[in-house]
Amino acid sequence: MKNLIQQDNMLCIIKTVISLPRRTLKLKNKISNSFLKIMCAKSKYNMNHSLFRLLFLLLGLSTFQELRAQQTEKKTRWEIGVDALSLIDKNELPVYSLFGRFLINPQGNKKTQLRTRFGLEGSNYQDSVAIFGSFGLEVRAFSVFASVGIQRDIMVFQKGALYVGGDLGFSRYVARSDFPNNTISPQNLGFDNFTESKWRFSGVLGYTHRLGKNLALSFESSLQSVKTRQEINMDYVRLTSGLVPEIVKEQRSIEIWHTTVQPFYQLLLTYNF
Amino acid sequence: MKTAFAILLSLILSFPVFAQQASQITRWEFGVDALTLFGKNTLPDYSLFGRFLINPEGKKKAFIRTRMGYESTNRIIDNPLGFIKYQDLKLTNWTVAVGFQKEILSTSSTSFYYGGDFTYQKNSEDDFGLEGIEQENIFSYSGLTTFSIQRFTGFLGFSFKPIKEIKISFESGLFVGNENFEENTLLLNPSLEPVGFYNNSTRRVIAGFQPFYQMLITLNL
Repeated sequence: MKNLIQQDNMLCIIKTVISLPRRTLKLKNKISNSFLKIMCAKSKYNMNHSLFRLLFLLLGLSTFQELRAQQTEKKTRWEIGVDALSLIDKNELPVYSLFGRFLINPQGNKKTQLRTRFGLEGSNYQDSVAIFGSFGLEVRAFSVFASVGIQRDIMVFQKGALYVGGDLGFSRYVARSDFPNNTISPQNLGFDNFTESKWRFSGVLGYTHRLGKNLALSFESSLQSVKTRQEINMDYVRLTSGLVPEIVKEQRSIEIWHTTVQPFYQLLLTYNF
Repeated sequence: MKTAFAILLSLILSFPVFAQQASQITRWEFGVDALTLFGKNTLPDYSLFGRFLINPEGKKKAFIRTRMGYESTNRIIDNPLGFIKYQDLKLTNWTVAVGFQKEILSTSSTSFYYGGDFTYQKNSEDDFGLEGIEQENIFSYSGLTTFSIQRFTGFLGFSFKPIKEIKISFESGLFVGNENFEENTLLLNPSLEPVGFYNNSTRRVIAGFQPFYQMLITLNL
């Protein structure tokens, strides 16, 4: 490691020397010569030999360093992370999910990665409503989100890369609430089940920036089309009309296709391992 | 001989320097408006921004710029007990902005600039949705609102580059424009019988100062 640092310093010195203007060419030569003399002072060989050796050493070391950097980069194939947009409640995808990426072409210059995001959230409702035998009803409701996709680099920069990709996602959200808590009509007693399922097709354009060795920050915008189906099943007792309570069952559904540009799709903070 | 080697060495080592210089001239930029994150965006949240450098040789850089967005909603409501038996609704929203900007002052990583944007925007909104039905107002009314805006904004901006690939720009502006607004509302009583319908359309001229016009985070390509 020390050698590498020294070599870097040397490169810097040489670069600064050679980047001096033309007017100071003589001065530059003097400086570079004296520098090289210092470098070769301890050497018993003549100047030309030393220069050759120095040159080869420099070239060899720099190539080796590049190769080594590439190798260490290639070794990390997995990436796992979180969506920072959740922190400011601007997340497009559910809060309760985690992100992961897997590199499928470690040899290639432009990365191709498989990507996924998965999450699960559960609730257990203990209902204490005491009407017509529905006392102590227990209901479990699970929300799930899963998405799979692929991405490929289109431009690679010094510390980052621009990529395109696509995601196919599915989510299902279930909730259950009691009527007395709703504003709809306080005179109704009962409950409703709300289900929302979404199919999501997203084309993704993203930029990823490496922060140090293992961390990366990826920002993604998308053009997406989302098919949503919402359904409400209501089961309640209407207490308004006269003395005899009326039992009502209702079902409503809606289907929505929403196509949009979503500039803030994901802001991922990921860890490579 | 020594000089020859020194020249050779300098040539080899200067290649990467030249390569860097060549790659520093980036003409394309595109990005997003960070004001969307706080809900303080002037232009719609479904749009993306782009910029193109037209004088790469010039001392004061000039760009042509655009912001475009598209959104469409298509919904089918099936509500056997409500007043809507079956409804198919389509809404399309879009935005186009084109403009120009030129630098006033600049250093290697920061610059001040001025410019102008012409914006056209068409938006439709409605209140349908099952959550809406459940919670409140579909029993009292349903409304479809459409508005279109044509606007010219003159702005002053400041931009800086925290890293080589990314530029952050902050813009304040003065705007003048025209807005057309149309609202269709159906009034219903609690037993879901239509009791009235009204249509309201307005045209107004809008003008004012916008301290937060855009806060752009762009990627240089």
